[in-house]
Amino acid sequence: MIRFASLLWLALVAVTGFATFKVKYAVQDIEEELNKVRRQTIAEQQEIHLLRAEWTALTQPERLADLNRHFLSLAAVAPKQLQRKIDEIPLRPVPEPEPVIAAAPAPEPATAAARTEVQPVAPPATSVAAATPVAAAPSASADIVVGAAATVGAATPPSGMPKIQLIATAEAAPLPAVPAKATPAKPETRLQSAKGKSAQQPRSLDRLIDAIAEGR
Amino acid sequence: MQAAQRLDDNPCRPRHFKPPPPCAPVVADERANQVIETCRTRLVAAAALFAVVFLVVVLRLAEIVLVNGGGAESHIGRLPPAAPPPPARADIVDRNGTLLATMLPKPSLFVNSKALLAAGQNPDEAAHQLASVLADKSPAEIRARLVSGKSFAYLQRSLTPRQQYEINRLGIPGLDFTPEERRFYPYGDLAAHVVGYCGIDNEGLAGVERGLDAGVRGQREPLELSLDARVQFILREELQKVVKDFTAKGAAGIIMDVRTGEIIAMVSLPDFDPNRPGDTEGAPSAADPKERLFNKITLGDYEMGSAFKIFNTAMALDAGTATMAKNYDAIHDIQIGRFTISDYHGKHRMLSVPEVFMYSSNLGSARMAMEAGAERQRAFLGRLGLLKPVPIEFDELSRPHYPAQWREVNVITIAYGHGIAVSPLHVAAGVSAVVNGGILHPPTLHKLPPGAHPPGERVISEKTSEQMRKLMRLVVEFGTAKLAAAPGYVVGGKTGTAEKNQGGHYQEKKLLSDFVGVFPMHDPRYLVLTLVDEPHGNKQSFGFATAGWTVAPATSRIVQRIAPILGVAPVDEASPAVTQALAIESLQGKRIETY
Repeated sequence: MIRFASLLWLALVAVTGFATFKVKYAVQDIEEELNKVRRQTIAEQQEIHLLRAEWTALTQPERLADLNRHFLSLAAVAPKQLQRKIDEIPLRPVPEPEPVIAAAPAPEPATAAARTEVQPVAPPATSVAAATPVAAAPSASADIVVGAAATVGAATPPSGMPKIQLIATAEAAPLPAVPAKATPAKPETRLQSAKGKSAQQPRSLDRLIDAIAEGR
Repeated sequence: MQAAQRLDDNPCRPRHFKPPPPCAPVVADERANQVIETCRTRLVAAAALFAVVFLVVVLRLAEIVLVNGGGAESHIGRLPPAAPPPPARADIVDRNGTLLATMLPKPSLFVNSKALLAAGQNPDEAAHQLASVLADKSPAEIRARLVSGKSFAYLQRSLTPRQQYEINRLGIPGLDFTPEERRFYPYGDLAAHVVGYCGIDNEGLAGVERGLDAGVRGQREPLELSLDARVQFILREELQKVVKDFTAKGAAGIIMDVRTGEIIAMVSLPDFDPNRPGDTEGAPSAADPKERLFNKITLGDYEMGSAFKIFNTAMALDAGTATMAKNYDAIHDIQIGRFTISDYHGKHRMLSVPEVFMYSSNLGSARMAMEAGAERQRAFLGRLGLLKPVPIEFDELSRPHYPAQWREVNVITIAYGHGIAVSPLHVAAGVSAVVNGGILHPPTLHKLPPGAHPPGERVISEKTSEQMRKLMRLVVEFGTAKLAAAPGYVVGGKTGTAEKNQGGHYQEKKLLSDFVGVFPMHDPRYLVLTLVDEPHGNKQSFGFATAGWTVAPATSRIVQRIAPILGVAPVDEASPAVTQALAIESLQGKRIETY
């Protein structure tokens, strides 16, 4: 009986000893890892600090203003452009036969499309005709040319038809515009020049903002 | 017998060992028994001691395992810290958290010449390589230090991280770095005068760095200033434009929240780069370093000219000696001693108080002041804090200059801002109090939590403040500062143009033009004070160098640019809400003659 007790105690001592060492080494490993992580954290924090200083130096207002002048040419916000509530924004007035767009040498196609689509009231056919070179621009993808006012007049649906529909048809099917191909090549070059201009997006964006500001 | 009995109890005794038969005790046994007795006692004592020790161990074990891990935290305390050590100086940030000043590791490079030579490095080659990294040192200079034979010689102080990396990459033996920190101002000269700069041992020498040194030195939390870097930039840019356009000596400006006294921007031109405060490189030739380090806003004291009519009129209205409808003589010049006071923009007729203010009549103002008296004037200016240094977090503060004896001639000149010299900060704080409903807040550079109501002191009544707002709006609508109008932002203000006093004489050609603007006037939020030192008229200003032509248009541009940033929405200036708030009864129905 006593022998069994002694054996038991001996075994317990052995197990405890083993467990103790095991735990000790495990703790040592964890500590080492903790040390490493902490050193890393500090290094990272110092790096972040450095990068933050660098970021601040790179975003100096003076430098940003300079970059803007070179690449974006954004203008300061005019008081006119600031409105507190959505209700305070007035509706765009019905324009007289599009002097702004006609005068602009070659507005960017997408912009022009947006402009015409926004129009709340469909103007009579005559004004549609006058504005058509611009309205046709989005159809450039289909390689069609809708050129001089007279030709388009032929292609245009009966008067009173909303302008939006005109664009839609032009975009959906090139068919109605086919007769226009007979017209001289002059408008085509003009369209291409419009395409080329669209590369300078920021400038025309600027102009758009100006135009909107004037519209108010 | 006793001994035998005890012997018998011994559990270690083998069973076959029979106790001797009891016999008569012997004398010799007696002694042996005593020895055994002593041993036994000692054994028991030792066993008790061990038991106690083991008990302690057991209890401690139980505590560690079962109760709380036995204070493992204190053990972790011996490990390296989880955060870098606090920097020598805390960061300084603006109200949006943009860094204005921070510490950067700037190690210094030194060479152990003995080690370098012992490693068999060719000093010529090493010098050549180092010179390619350290741009401002010649190879010969570096070589001299490499072969000096000393075990410590600085090659270069304050390396950039890139330089350190390059040098490490060269792998030259005997070179090492000492870790050092340097103050770095990422925005350079943008807020130079506010933030200030530090010396080589990172001690604050100017601006906030000096004034709030205790809040920065050895702290970890960044110091938040009331400044807005974007607004600061706009103010500085516009002032630079004014200096250039009017070939002026300098300019200064301050933007302040009139409700709290927080300073949003503060610029003094010419300024300096706090990263190299003593350096004049790349500076306009005329400005000497002293001039550039000088903060015109807090250190300068100027006779502010007609802008002082704000205080003069407020005093007269608040004291009740004048009312909005009262008329003053602007026909006859005032003769006092050898001086003759006359009007710059003469109207030569009786002027009501709004007209006196609008047309900036010296005669009307002087008569208003004389009517109120020297005592009232002095007490009023004292109440507005114009006779003592402004309480702000700076060490560099000017002491106002004012006459020791307040005689009648002083009363007259002070009415239109001559004969008393105060800093622009004084005027900004005073005018804020005049327009914000009459509460004087000490100006501060500390960021206040949004919606905070800092303590203030009432200096004029609510009603006087309202009247002053109307008068200041009138100046921009019809008076001397029409060019300061910014559509939508209801700017109001007062111009001031003073001849500079040099050696007791007023110099006709050397002007100081200033404009105190406030917007929006029907519900004042921000004050914009700008002044330009010795401007010269140009073509666009038709040769004028007065405030209405120089700083007033600049204020208009500044307001239009900063208002969206500061969250002031434009309003319709013709809307009834605005016009009613700013209507002057005594002018109702009268045709206002434009200036």
